[in-house]
Amino acid sequence: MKQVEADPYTWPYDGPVDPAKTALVCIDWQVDFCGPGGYVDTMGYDLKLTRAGLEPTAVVLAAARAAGMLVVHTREGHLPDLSDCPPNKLWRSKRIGAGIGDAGPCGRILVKGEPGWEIVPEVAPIEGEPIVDKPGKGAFYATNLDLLLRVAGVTHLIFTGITTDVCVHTTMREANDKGYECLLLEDCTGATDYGNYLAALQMVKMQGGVFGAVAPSSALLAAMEAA
Amino acid sequence: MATRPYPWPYDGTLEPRRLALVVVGAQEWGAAHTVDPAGALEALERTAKVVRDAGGSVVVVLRAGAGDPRFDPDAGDVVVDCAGMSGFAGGPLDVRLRALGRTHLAIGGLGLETAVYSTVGGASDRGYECLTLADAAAPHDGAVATGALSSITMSGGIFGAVGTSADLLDLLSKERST
Repeated sequence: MKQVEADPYTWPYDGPVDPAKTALVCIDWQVDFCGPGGYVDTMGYDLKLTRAGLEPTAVVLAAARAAGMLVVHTREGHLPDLSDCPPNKLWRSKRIGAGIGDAGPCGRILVKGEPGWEIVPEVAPIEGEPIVDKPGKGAFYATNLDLLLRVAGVTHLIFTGITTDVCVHTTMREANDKGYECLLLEDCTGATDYGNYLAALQMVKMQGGVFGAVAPSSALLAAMEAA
Repeated sequence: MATRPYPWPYDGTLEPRRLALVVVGAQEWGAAHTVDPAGALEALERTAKVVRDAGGSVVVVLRAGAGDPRFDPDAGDVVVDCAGMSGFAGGPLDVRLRALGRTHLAIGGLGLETAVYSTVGGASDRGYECLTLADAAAPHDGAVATGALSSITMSGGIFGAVGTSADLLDLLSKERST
């Protein structure tokens, strides 16, 4: 393996990609965020934007598994009685017409165990891959993600998932603050607004890569295939 | 009120005893890498004065490695350290806010797309009701900052609401007159 041709620097900063120290983190590829009848669909956003990264992510997933990299999936969702849902989050969701816990075509919105909470089949976890359930946007808050990465000896994270500006950014920022070396795959992510997606990519890259680096998945695959 | 996408705060009346003005990134690094840091600092100082007088807290978060402070706290202000771009990273911000009973945060500082956006994201996950003060948050790049502010307001206000220091002062003066 080699380093990845990324922007604004060749990733990772400390040498070739080491699959033993690197995890692929797949954020919230749930029906609620990219499937018909889910939370994002109910709010009226264009699903094409959040589904755009599914195909390239499936290719990266296969490569990561073949390389023996740890693959971690995350899911956002609340307990059925919504006791872990902050009241302002609940209020805002109801105000925009997609109330958390309300019945929808995919079951109760953003509730654990409902069809809308499941990860879509294109990038579904396989046996043995950890799934981190989170009540918020950041996957490090109120979860065991940091601990399971440490136990696995992981120091480098490659991100795919949705949405770029919210759950992916929050998680990548938390990871960067904790000292993980982060790469975001630009074609393996999407937002509810295309302009916000572009701004979110830019925010990672500013000031010399303040939150890590950004690359197309083809660059990662090329680095992984290199002898 | 011009806060968007909803009239802040979500629960109606702003109680000053539940309010904290949180200043993040107001240090050398932020000042060197943002557009018009002086304008944002001036808005923060003006806002801090009114927040203190009304009974709100002013909390200044200083990031390790980001250089000397650029915001002068008053004797009664709270100053805490953090170890990352988010004010919640590696420091006592959450504990201090809880101990003070502050559930509603107005957030500004130097680095809208960095320190401010990270802190607003961390605060939202912890249940705080956030107002990002656009005029008191200096951007690194105006066009990117527009995207960051737009992101905050998506999905009904995914990280709370966006407004200006004038909006907050307006709310506090209404509070005083009732």
